[in-house]
Amino acid sequence: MNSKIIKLKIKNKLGIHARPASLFVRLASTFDSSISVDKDGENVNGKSLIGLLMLAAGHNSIITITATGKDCSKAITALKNLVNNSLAFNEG
Amino acid sequence: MNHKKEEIKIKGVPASPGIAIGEALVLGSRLLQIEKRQIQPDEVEQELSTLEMALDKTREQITALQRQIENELHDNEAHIFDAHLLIIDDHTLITSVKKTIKEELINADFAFNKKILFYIDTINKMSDPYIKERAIDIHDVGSRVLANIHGHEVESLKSLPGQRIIISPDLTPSDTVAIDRENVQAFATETGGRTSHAAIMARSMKIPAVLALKSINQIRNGDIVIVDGYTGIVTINPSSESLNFYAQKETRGGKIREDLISESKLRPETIDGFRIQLAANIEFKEDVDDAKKYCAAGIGLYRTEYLYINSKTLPNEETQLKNYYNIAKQMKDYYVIIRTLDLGGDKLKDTINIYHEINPFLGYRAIRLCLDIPELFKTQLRAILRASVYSNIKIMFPMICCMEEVTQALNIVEEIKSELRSEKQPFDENIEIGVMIETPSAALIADRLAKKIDFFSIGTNDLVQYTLAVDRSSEKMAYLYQPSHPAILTLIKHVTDIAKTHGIWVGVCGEMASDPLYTALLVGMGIHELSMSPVSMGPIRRIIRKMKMHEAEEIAKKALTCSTAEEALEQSVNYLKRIDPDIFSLIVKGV
Repeated sequence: MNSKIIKLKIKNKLGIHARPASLFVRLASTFDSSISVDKDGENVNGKSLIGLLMLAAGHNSIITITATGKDCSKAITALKNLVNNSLAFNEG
Repeated sequence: MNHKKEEIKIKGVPASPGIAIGEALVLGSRLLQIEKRQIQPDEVEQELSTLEMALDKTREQITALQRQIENELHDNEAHIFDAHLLIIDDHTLITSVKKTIKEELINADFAFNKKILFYIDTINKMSDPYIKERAIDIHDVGSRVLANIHGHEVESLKSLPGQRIIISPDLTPSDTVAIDRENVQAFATETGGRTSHAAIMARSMKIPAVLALKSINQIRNGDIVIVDGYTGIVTINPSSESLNFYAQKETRGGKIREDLISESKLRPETIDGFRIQLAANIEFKEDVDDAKKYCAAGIGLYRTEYLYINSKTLPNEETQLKNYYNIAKQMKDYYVIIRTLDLGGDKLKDTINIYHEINPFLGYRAIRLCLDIPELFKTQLRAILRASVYSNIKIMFPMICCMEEVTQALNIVEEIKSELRSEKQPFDENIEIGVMIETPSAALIADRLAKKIDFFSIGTNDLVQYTLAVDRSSEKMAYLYQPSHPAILTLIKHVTDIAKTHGIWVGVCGEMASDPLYTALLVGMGIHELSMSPVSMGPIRRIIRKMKMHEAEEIAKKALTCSTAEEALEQSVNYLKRIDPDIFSLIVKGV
């Protein structure tokens, strides 16, 4: 099965908290691929809000997103854009 | 449990006077004590479907809440419920709960509660304050699901375990109806304002209330809290100094409140003999009793929105007539200003075709909506005119921005008058008609308006909001919500000057009217009538009776030359401190 991996830095000052986490989960859930997110050796399901919150990914932390499935390329591009799009991520 | 906790103070809107010191009962976020029960393998299916059903029901409840909030355009809160929905559908959470039920053979509620508590605990241990705040969301959803598993309401207020101060995101009419009145010491809620249901309820129960209290999630069940209904300050885990301070303040405050009640019959007249009309803002017919009790000179603002909200159909002429007539009859010798419908189209989604817009506060609402739907407007005006047989009713149009609106509205009134004449229906031929000044544009064209109408009533809440371009429900922007801003004072002075030239009177029916800090400023600028919730009349009456008109005018004059809101307010504050240190000490921030 196809798989794509990307490493990203969280530039949003507030980290991945409520709104950014919700946006991430909503977006991740639109893909068939399974999405996992790693931080400091911890691994959670990228389609789970509680999972993302458990990562406590604050400002400047590095996360690794892995998408596995047919639409993995699309998923990685979309999630990368979301994380890097400081506007969306700064709002919450 | 008895370790020393840090004192925290948070501020909301004071909605009912008094001070309460007691134990907090936090609603809306209580996790229940759940018993662990070992189940048989053949009971697993049953437990799983109980869980599923509770999740479905919770999803429905949250969606309904979200829809309601979206309509009110509280975007921030709406997205919190979005997160709540994600938690309900959280694969990681639900799968692990189901797994626990199946593998450990325990009841669904226990398995769910355990998981939720684990997540809350983990999040609470994190150092990031922003992520920490999310624990309350998981808490919220968790207690909702558990209540649904148990098939009872989220909270039952029918019997409290003893004297408690109720801390809640909101109190609905059904909450307050059901509440154990004997044991409620005070309310503190996250939403609402001076005129919300909880406020009215608290005043009628004579207990302190603070509403629009931000970050109530800092309060835990069982915390000792002090609710100061004079200043809106809520103290959590008070220090012994605070406890002392508030105990003394309550003794003093109780005495002053008694004095004020005994002064109710005294004329609101300055020492040098200028009479100010103290009027009441009311909504329901029950409020009339309060207005009379505090000896209001009239009803300065009768809000009619409640007839339209919560109604599947638009209120017909007879229903409205009955309401207006009853109030006019009860107030017989005193005036009643009926404000025509002042709602945004978004609040009438069941009865009119809603028109969606990004910013309803700058959109389709109040007089704009009424002129757009003449049948709706005419029905209300017919009812008001038919109720005017006691000749004490006046009509007031809200949210006026331009002359055309006034001309059109007045034409419709004339049209209805001639209809009623030909139907031989009695009404007050000389009914007074006024407009609200709540937009900068209305204030600036006051001279044109004054030629057509009989009075002005300044709605300061909206005037501040529209002049300073600040939404007062925005926590971040609260600092800019400044009623004493030079722009606001200049607009008010402009309106009173114009009114004087044209020989008409001006009232204020916004919150400024009920705030003792602004009384000298408003009276000094030439305001004739102050209209407020009846319970606020005591302190304002007292202050007026201790004022001298020429001093108030001096204060206003000075304030009008100030460059900032703070400097202007200081003029008024210093004066209040001098003429009535008692009232001043009650309303200034404690400790």
